[in-house]
Amino acid sequence: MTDWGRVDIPLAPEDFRLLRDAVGARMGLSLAPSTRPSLERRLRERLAVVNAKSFAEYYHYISFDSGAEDEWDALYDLLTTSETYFFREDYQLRAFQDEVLPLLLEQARSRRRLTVWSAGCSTGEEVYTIATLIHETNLFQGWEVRVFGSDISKRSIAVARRGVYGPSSFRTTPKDKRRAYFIERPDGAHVVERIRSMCHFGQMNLLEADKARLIGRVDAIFCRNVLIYFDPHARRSVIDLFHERLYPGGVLLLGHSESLLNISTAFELLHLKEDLVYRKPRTFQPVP
Amino acid sequence: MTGESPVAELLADNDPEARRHGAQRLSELKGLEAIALLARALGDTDWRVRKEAAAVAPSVVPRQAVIEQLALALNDRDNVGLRNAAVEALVLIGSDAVPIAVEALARLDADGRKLAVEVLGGVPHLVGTQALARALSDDDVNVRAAAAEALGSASLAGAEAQRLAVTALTAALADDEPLRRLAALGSLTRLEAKLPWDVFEPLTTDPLLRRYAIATAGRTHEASAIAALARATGDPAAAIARDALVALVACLVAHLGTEELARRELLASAVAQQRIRRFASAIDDPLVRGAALAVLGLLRVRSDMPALVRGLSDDDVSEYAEMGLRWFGQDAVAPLLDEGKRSSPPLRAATLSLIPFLTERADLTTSETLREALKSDAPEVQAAALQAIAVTGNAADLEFLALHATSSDARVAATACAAITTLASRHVLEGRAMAERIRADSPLAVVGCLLRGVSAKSAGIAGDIEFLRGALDHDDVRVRRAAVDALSAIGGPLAAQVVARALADEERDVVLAAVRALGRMGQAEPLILLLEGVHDTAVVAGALRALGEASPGRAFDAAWGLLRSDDPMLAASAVETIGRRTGSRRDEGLQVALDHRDPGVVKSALVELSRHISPKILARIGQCLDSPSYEVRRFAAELLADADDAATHTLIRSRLDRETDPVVRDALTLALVAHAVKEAP
Repeated sequence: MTDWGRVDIPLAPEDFRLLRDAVGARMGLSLAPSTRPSLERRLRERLAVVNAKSFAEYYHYISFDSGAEDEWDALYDLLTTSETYFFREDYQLRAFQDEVLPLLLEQARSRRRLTVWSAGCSTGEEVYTIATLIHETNLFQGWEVRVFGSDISKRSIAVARRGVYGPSSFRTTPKDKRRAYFIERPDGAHVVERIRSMCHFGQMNLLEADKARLIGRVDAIFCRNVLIYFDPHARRSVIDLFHERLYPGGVLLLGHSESLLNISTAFELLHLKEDLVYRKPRTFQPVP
Repeated sequence: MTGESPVAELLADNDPEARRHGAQRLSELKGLEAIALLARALGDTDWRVRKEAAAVAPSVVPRQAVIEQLALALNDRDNVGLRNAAVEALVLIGSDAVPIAVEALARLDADGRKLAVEVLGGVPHLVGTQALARALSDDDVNVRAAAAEALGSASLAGAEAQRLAVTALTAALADDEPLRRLAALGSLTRLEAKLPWDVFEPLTTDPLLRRYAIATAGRTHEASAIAALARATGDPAAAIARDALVALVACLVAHLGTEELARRELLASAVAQQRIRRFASAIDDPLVRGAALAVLGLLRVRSDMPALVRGLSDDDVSEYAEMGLRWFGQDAVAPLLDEGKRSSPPLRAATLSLIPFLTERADLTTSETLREALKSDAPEVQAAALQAIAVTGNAADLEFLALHATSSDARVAATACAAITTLASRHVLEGRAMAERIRADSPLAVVGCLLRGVSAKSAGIAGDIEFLRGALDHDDVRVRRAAVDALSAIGGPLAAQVVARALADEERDVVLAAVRALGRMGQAEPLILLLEGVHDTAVVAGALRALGEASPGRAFDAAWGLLRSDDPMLAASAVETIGRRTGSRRDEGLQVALDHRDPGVVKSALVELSRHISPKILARIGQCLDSPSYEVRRFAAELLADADDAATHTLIRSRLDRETDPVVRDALTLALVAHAVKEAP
């Protein structure tokens, strides 16, 4: 029996490495050696639940047992606890609204359909933010506009779909925007229907390219502060996926501390007034 | 048509992006054209083209001609971009570039010699280290300082180079040339040299050197250094305070048990405390912010709790926030729970999950707060509270836990069952009484969990087995599983007989629970029958593991045949079973598994092999550095970091030269550093 009374069930370095590799291969997350105590704390709950006497046994369970899919869902929730908020990194959002959206308007005019993908959207704040930005431009009236948010955590997606938020999600939200796009109720601030109806959500592991293809082609991808937690191999494969999913001329927006500098890609840099974004060239160039 | 190759045309394009693509394709060419175009790309006006050309240089042939071309570029007086790109390319080429860089040190002017020093710093090699040590006495002050800086990478060239560098740099600290002393201090930090505090102490009074001396002192790990570092967090210069803070936390982590000494010093300085609080909230650098959060915990001031809890939700610093909360200790429990109540569900769950690390037993207020958390709508909060109660709760909590054992959320229900078992095992009498009381009208899963818990710590009583036999026919799979687990805790032949019946259950979950239970109960026969007659790989793998507990010798023989199974689940269970034994056949079996096509199986075998290291095993692990899987190569490199023999060091060094995967290169580099640190003076 796993005994929670002994909170010192140790996560030995070699078991940590095995778990690190399993998490890396499955989720793309890069776990540095310094995360060992935290991983130990987060996973201890799971040891008792799956009846594992040690972390080594737990590793074997999640790696080799065909019944471990549910366990991975629990792990996705446990290992992705990042919080986010509306209108985060506003300079980039301004660049998207003022410069990127007019470009996309021209490119997608014949389709009259605009699709934006927020990859790694956590609890959905970014998705609703993007929808409000598009809504405010009035550029796409009469178009089919879809903002799709994906995250690996089912729990996060459930929160995102609900569209009800507490104070910590509004730490940088201008008051006028909060009034315009949210309805205050006792259980929190609800996203208004005209914005909600533009937004769709789904659980997705960015390393599962086949599932990502279900989204179809997209005009822009937001993937901010996600890839910094990925190992180089996963980063490479996700960037390739983004390249494949974008229409020619589509743009990729990364977090302010992220770049593709050390990754050979077929993306080109697009210099905006306030930001740099990556663009899939309109003419095909092979990925080296 | 121009008659030029497509690559040459791209490199002549006006668009830098086209030229960058041209540079990427340089390795498609050979001979003089390749070398000429490489030189052109390295001297391009756009930095991205130069960077791309430098990256591709190691794959252009013939290599010696490339190196000579690059050495010529070191002497170019007009194009700074070309010279820097040549340095970068020579570094990427690696040890083949060392002789020409050493030769350049004797031939070029001061600017060229400085670039040669940079090359030698980027390609750690014993011969290069010797040349750099000599360059500490170069005629030119900038070359001398660059050599001191470049020696900071010497640990990657092996223990001898590390020793040579530390000796030369320590000597350089004693003279009065500020630039060289500064660089020497930085390099000694990078070399992780553990020099006595009295080497650095005199330098802390020099305004120019103080900051670097403080940062380097983090490695001394002497009590006097910890006190000095704690005091320096209140230094008037913010940069010094930041370095001192980071060094202090590094020292504290390396020497657990020295926290009180640091705490006393910090509490004596209001300036230091003020600065630490500012660093914890207003600094972009996550290393400094994290160190500040860790030290905030050390101060144990209740008003710092919001910052510490916020830190838990920030992936950049959450490890430090957690460290700080652990240093805060039992006094953190109440404010942590208070702060958790005001936080979002994931954050509240994080605060709850820390409680078992801060206190062994919950007081009345803590108990009430944990029970309150069970009423949350969020499953993660409930699960974390259940776990905290399991560890810190009392007998009265059993009733509260029982309410969640039938939760519609699978995670909550499973956690509640595990929590009931854990708590009942600590409160046997109360657990037994509750089981008797609720047997008739409560969910049977709860009774099963209670019986499992109490039976783990006391003998079962007549009637339990009969009750659990009935529970095995229940229509809820959770009840049947709980009954199996409870029977295994009761033990004995009669309980085993009842458990064996569950092998015929239609649900795999129950069958696997029965398999594990039989292993724990020492029942080999039904497991062997199962191994012979079942084709479900998950059940076979489980049975093999269980047999390993019941009868290790028979399990060993059964496992041998599964080592080469194409199914990773079976092969991994065989590795685990064989790894539990000792002796030469064990090692032989595990080495067979190193050839499995599944990296997970290979890594499991590597872990088992690494538990009993011998020169032969080390050599076999070393061969895994040639595995096609980068994960296996990285894993092997990490295991070899623990070895300290010269042959392993040479092997890692040679693999580093040809390894191209960045993740594996990092692991190999860290292994070399680990070897050098062990050998350091």
